[in-house]
Amino acid sequence: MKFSVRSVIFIMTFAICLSCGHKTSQKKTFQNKVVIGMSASPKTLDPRIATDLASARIQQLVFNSLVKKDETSKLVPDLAERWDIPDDRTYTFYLRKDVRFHNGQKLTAKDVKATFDAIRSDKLASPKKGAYDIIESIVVEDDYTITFKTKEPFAPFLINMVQGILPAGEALKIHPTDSITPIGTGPFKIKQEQPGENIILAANTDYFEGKPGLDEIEFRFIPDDSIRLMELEKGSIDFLQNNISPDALKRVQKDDRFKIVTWTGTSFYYVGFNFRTDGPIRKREVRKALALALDRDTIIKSLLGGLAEKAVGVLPADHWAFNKTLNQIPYDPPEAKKLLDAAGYPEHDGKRFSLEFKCSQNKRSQRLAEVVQAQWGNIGIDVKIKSMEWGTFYDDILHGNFQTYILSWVGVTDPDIYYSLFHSRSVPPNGRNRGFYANPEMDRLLEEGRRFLDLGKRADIYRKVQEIAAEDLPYINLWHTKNVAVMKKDLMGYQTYPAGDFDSFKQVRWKRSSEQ
Amino acid sequence: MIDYLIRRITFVFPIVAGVSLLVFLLIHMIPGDPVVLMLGESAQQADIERVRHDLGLDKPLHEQLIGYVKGLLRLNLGRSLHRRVPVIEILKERFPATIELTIISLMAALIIALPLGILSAVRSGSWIDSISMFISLIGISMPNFWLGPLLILFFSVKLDWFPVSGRSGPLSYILPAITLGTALAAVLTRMTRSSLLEVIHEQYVFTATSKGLSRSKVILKHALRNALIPVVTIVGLQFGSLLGGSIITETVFSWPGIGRELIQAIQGRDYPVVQGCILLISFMYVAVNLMTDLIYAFIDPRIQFKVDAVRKDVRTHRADKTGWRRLKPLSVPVLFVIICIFAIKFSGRIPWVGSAKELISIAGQSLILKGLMSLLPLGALFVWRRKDIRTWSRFMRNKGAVIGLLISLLFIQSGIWGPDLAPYDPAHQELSLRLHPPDRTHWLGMDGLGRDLLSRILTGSRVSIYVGITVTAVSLLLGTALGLLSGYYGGWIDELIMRIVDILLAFPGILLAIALVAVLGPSINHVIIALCIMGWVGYARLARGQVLSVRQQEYVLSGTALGASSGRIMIKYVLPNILAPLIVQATLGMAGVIVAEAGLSFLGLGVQPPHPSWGGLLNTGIDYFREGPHLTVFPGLAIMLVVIGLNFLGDGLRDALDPKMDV
Repeated sequence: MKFSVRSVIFIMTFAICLSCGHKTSQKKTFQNKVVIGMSASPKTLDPRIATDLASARIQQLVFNSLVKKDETSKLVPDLAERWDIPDDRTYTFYLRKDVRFHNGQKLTAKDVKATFDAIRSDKLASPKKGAYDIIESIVVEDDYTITFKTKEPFAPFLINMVQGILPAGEALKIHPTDSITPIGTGPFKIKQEQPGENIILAANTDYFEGKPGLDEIEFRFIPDDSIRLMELEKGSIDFLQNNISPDALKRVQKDDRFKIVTWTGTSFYYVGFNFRTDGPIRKREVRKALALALDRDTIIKSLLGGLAEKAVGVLPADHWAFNKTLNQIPYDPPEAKKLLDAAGYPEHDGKRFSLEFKCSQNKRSQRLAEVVQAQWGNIGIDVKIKSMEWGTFYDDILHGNFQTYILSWVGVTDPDIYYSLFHSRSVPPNGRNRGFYANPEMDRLLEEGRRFLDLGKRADIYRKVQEIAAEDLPYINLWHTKNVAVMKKDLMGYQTYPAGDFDSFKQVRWKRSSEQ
Repeated sequence: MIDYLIRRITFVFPIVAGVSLLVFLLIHMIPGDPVVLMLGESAQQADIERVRHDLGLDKPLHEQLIGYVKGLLRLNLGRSLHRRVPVIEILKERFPATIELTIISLMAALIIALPLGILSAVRSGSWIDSISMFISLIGISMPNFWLGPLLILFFSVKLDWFPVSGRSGPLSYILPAITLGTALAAVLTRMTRSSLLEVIHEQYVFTATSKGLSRSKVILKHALRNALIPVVTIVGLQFGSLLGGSIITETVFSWPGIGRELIQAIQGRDYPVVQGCILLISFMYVAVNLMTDLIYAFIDPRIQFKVDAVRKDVRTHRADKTGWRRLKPLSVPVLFVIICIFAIKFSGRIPWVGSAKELISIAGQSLILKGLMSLLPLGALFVWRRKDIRTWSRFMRNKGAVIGLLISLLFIQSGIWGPDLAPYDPAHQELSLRLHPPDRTHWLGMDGLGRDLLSRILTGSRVSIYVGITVTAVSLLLGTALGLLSGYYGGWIDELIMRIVDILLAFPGILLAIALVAVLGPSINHVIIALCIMGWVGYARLARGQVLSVRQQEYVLSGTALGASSGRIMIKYVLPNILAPLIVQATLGMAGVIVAEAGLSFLGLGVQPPHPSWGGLLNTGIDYFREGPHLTVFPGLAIMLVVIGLNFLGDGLRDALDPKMDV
């Protein structure tokens, strides 16, 4: 049995060589580069089909759109230096003439048309196609002018023009076996991609708004929240945004190597009700009682570390259509009990009725579910939590197979979201009215809100919409979460966008040693 | 041998086809629509239908299956629905990272485990044996989602020796390899030790020593080789499962391996990717298991694989009346375990519904019933003493065994009385006291929602102990029985059972769990079913490996010559001699079962919040492993204590039951 002794020795020497041979000395030379920690890797870098958040963030730096959202979610020029709306179905965009793609090619109206044509083609099977069904025609007037005609007046049209533009040569590759090279016009170009690990962007020195402040940006994909934070603490990443546990954030706050920025975000958390169950929740008083029984202040303060603001509706308080006259539902368990008694659900043995509450396997939403369970338990409601794998959970929600559930909406910008949430025709599969809520007055207002392009008129309509929603309570409005970014102290120029966009990385730079 | 190889290789195709078909059907039938998940929340119905049509997902299932098979025959695995790239590209991208990590962690585990196992066997009872046992038990009780972050915190953040995560340079392999290798090294150390102890008293070892060979030569050359079968089996099983990618370790270390890809694909219902990954993984398992079998024959020349190895059953002319009585020593522990399961099960209901009301109600259930039930295990011990004084006294003479028995009894009792002992309502929240460290009013501190941790651990012991014992016992029994049949008869019985094992090994547990939730809904019994389905295969391979080497022994042959029936030979001659590694595996495996229960419960299969379980406490506690370390340490300690108790008990039982000790 010589083999065992020898092989053990061999393996051991091999292992020792392995561990000693590679001790590289870590030299820290200054690189004009920022490493960003991300929780998910982008599914694809093809702007025609990407819908996930990680793709969107990276694409904001590689591609430009006709128009873009500014720090207050207002639409401002990007590739289009200006646009006309001669009638409520026609949009003419005038392109900048100094824009070149990363491959040196000039941007023309043809590229814009090609990109939108590709998205609208059947072959590509793009998930984004539906957003452009409203378009009747796209006409290239000349190299730098392009006109879109819609089938009918559609207020949210412009916001759909936030869409990265590819050169026509790439954009028209629509066969399923084609693979495109993600060439854009943006401040950064893709230098290296290791799927699941990282993506490195290099500065586009010819960028039409001027050379970016950084030479390189590396996105590293680190799925685990606490590990991502440890990367930051070790110094191997420079910037991370959101998905930080509030408890861990308190520790980072004490660390003077970092600065923390928090600002109002666009994620809205709610408890949804099903109006098609024959449970007590169909009664308005019961829903109101459930809302009264939630101590949101305490939840926000303790569990969320103050990183949220109580919501009165889907729209955040600084939104242009926000209804300032709406009042927060207070935390008032005695009043809740009174309402339930009056609604015909008296307490027997500390219990009024049972309620099923669904949440996904995500630990954060499980925790929230447990808190809701405990607080509703205080007014005598026996909440049964069902935590489920995401795919199964989502399937149940879409099929109306629930009594109550907790979820969130991400990226609430246009008030037209109310149409798909609360219009009676928007029940799945046609929209997102998953609880089958129906109110004719609401329907009428929502249809009207779509037809006007004038912001003032729309604001009036949506204020009424918010009032009705606050009265009927198809949702319990929980809170809008705040965005959090943690970065090294010397990182300058990061601008906060409500949706957490990364646009401002084109001007982010390191503080020079001469600066104070 | 060549025939055997050829036959095994021809078997590859039915297995892979079987796995593919199973996965294809399951993934298409579980709830969740890939298009809906891909398009996200803003999708309109028209889009969904259009994309579904464009991707060919609206065709009837059999047409899709035919299309898939046609693609497979042309070696085309299809394209990812979400990423739109060919599946083969994804596999090429992800698989190398997994292979590298697998090989390194296996090597590391072997380098540590073999010498440590040998040393603790040779110096059994010495300090080195105790230390190695202690380290092993810690290793096995720390799930990777806890060990990984701890290692990172200490070695990367504090000491700055290694990168935190990612795959960049040789240094980045070390921590993930340690994380993956620790549990494996723990099992291997214990396995090597117990297996070596078995053979170290054999006559050929004695002969070698009396011939004047040096101690090290005797151990390494004569004893170790014969002790390696279970070690090889475990390495084979782990090699396969590591090649399938470890989801947790890959997530913790941001490792771009196949496990993470598979889990994301399952969550997004990316059918082609799931099928492609599992196809690859099943190939790996088949290959590794074949290799394992060949290595058996290499290290133990007595093991022969023949195509027509089915034994001719030599019928005895008289009924074997003594058979059952001979089984008695073995039947005692089996009965004991059954009684314990029974006692916990019937001392009150175990609620799975996530309702605070029902959680409280389990504490108040009939005390008389509980009292009776808690006496049952003691009664069983009394019966043991009455009926089989010989093993009993041998058992009681062993100090470790008695300690193990006491700890185990303690945990059985906590499975019965736990909820009643809880000082506070385990569901009551005091949000202002979140993460409060242990103090005089709350001995173990407060959890992430301000609930008393001690109460939650005590209440959770009911589910965890019950699931832990039941799953381990059922898997052990089922696995041993099938492994025994498989190894003893060989031939087509062996092929059938082992190929089922191959299929199950390659099958991702999460898919099974999602399917079970969809079909059966949540219940504690469904968790047990799921864990048993996944759990027995390891025992089966372990038992079979042992049988292969034992069945050629003289005493088995002599049994055959004496005209004993196959059943009698298997149970009386073979079984007692293959038990050692199985007992080791079972005592260590319970920690894994307790943690796995929580994983399945999160998917909706098991107990729902606010009902605690140890695995669940550990799993949710990990979110606060820096702000509130007590949240992981105490549930972890509970699991560790159980494993320690069982381990002592197992060692004691093995010694007491060992026929060789009868002399």
